[in-house]
Amino acid sequence: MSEALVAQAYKALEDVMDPEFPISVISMGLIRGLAVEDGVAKVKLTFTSMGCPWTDWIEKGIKTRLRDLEGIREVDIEIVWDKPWSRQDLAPCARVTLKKLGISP
Amino acid sequence: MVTEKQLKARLARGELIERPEEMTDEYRFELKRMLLIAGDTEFRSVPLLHSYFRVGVPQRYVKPVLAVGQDELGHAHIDYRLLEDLGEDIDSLIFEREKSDWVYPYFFDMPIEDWPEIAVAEGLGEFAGGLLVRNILHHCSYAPWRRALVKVDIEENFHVKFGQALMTELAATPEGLEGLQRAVDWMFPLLVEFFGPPAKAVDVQIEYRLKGGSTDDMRQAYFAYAAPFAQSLGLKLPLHYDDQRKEYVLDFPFPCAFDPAKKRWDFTKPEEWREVFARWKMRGPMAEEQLQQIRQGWRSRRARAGQ
Repeated sequence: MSEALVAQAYKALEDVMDPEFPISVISMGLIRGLAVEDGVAKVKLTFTSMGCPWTDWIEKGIKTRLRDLEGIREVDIEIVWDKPWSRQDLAPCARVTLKKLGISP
Repeated sequence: MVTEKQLKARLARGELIERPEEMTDEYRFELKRMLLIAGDTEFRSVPLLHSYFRVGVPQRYVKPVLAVGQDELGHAHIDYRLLEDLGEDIDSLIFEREKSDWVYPYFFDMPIEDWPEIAVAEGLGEFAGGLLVRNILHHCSYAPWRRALVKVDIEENFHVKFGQALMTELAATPEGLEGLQRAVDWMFPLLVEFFGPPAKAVDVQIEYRLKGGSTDDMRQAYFAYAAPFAQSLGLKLPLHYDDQRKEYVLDFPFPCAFDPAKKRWDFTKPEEWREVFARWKMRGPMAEEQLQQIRQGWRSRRARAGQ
């Protein structure tokens, strides 16, 4: 597994935004793990709630962005709920953005 | 009591209004009028969204459509809540007002009958609503409204993206594209009407800095979005860009006659604005049923509560 490619993949996911807020899936704390083996990116993904309406949208965004990277031909997403997402998962920059939008982080 | 001169001097300095005591009666009247239009537009988009489920929503889009509806109700709540601060009774506004006293786009009164119509309502309709929000968010002198719209704007932007995705998906097949064109043919002129009659020479709402752009400014901003987007999908809209005038020009007389029962425009029959106002006042085909739906929920809730 290439560590450089994993780092590149994490960086690429900074471009995949949460559908509702101008915050990336990384800063939202939705990515719980990322590995690349034989050209397959294995992503562990969670959502802010089980009722999230935009799950397909987020998965599609992740797949499209990662497939753009040289060295990744397939993206395998595993949805994980253990432990459930909480506000503690937000990156400090995400808290600042939410606060600016008038939403309590 | 603040005078008109004092208020206008403050507005000219770029100051914002925070409390009712800082307003003149005329300013309050215009602000309330705009809040009512904004609230009604958000609120009455919900029965339209609800009607999509009669058409049939693919499983993967059920939660997104519900989420859009929930957002719109939240936005309506913000506008009505601000009206409450200005002395209005929200229950009577929503549940007791006559059909003809509502002030929302005629577009929402039309029956939605297939999936391409849903896609166009979201992909082209949501943008029109979003423009109205941004015209207030970036310019309005009433600070509480402006603050509240920050979140609304983000959500409206996402609704547009959702609608664009639905339209793009359909445009990928010849049948889908044909369906979209059929929908656009009757929906687009209604969205041109969405922004209201031509700009007035003197617009008191702009003078009070309650909004930035005029109805014609909004329409041009709308065309600048809709024309390239539709073209990118292979859809034809009845308008073109005039290089000399440096603006979009409609290829049909505006306004003109519309038959809501047939969902058909007659581009050979120009109309006067008073005729359009009369059609709006009568409301469209679904208005009565939607209003009864809203009232019925309220009545049964009150009955259960013994009120």
